Amino acid sequence: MIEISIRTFNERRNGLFVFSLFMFLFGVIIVAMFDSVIQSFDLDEYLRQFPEIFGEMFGKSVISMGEFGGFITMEYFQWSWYLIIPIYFALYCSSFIAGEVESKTVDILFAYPIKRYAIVVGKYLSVTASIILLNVVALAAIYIGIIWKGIDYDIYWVVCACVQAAPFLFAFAALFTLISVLESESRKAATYSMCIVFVMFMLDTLSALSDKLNTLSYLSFMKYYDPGKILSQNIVSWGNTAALLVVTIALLGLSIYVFQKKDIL
Amino acid sequence: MKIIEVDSLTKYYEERTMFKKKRNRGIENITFDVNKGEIFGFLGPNGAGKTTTMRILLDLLRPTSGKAKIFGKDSVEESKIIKEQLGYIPGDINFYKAMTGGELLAYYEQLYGLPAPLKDELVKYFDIPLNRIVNGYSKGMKQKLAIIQAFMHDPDLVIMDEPTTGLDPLVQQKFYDFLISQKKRGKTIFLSTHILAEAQKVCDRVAIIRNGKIVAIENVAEILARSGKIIKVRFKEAVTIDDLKTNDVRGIIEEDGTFTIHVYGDINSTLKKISSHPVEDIKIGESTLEDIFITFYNGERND
Repeated sequence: MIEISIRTFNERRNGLFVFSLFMFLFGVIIVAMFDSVIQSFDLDEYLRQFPEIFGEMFGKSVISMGEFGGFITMEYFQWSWYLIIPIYFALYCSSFIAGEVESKTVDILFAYPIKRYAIVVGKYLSVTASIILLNVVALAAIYIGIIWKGIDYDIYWVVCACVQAAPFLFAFAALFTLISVLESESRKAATYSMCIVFVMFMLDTLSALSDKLNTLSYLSFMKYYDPGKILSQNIVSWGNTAALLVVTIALLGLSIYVFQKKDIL
Repeated sequence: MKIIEVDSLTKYYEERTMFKKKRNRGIENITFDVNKGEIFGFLGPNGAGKTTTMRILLDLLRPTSGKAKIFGKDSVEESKIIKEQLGYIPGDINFYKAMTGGELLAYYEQLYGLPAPLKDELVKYFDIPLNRIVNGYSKGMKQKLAIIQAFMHDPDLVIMDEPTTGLDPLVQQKFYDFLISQKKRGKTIFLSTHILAEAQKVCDRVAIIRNGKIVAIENVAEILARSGKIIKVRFKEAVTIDDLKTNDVRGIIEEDGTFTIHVYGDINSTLKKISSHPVEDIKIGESTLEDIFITFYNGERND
């Protein structure tokens, strides 16, 4: 099983390093911009010019954008962890099973003494290193930025935001694995996965608009990971993390169940 | 000792569209056994159901009904244990393109969980460049790599779906020699092919499959022994198939003025019939499996 994880990771290694470098530079630039941005104009005053709903949509739980925690939530975590990284994992995971079936490399894999569930789990576990690397890179980028610019902010809260991001991304990876098992064409699987990220993002951001949307937003994984609460309000809640872990296990179990029954044509 | 036991195996493929569900025939009621130390050929045209049967044995497909056992173990429930002693060459060979041949074999060794005892010997025998990226391999080289991965763990049974596709005649012959050497070591081979000459060269028994059903299971040596002669004859005048029929003729095919007559029993009555017409050219030889297949099965259309 671990051989499958390592090979799957190695296949995506170069892309991951380039993406990590992008995320690192993006993080450093955002942190470096903080001083000059808050000195140039009052961000909170700027936000107040928009309808109240706007602030709730794009910066839930952020007390003030003028302080560092709120700033990096809205400029870095909100976009990267809610959209860019989930879309990266949609592309990463969609070919897990669909790609193997489509390219017919799965045929020889089935000649070896491996159980079907081990193929799914092996593929899934390959995201572990990527999730760790991306969060470490983000943490390093913010830490280096803080030291470089002499910003007074406790890095502990960034550590918490990154640690809680892991189950959030694991849940997405489990969902994309299920799509890859259900769909036998990796391009279709990637498209469906990316659409789901976008729908979840919209459900979460629009949840403040009505009670109905708020109820629906519980279907979005973004509801269970709130970097603003950690970075701006300095509140860490583990209940949502537990919910994400349960969802991850359920999705992975469903992926295994579907793959057990599937005909590999 | 039976290595493969297939009992009433049936597979229908379900094709679902938004409005209806359609069932397509894969195989129907297939039953056969493969004995230890035997090279068993699965013969039939494309789409007959050869690959479907093999994919069920590999647990890539789940049967609609019926059972298959390998080494006495259920092919679905005990698939992992079976594969500890099984090698497989799929019909459509695809490897991870970015890996070298050497990396791929090392990966398959890891999946197997043990070093492959025959790897070096087979790499030398089939002569493939291990340090090259597989994407740059020719079709024949990929085929050879597939053969190596299937045999390198020295499995007791190897299932092969049209294994000589893409191999040049010299390598094909090398491969046949290798198969026979494996058989001598007590290994069992189950191969599908539509090349009858190949089946004749290496197989002990063959099952002939058509339209998803087995139409015959024959011992190759026996069928050849009782298959008689093949007469290929051209005449100087117009002759019909009926003009050449005798009680000893099993089948006649006419193609571009050449009659292929498959005779079993006494050849003289047929020769007498032939000589009653002016002959332009005639050849008499032993039947090959291909002749038998064509006259027995395709030849039915002419009867």
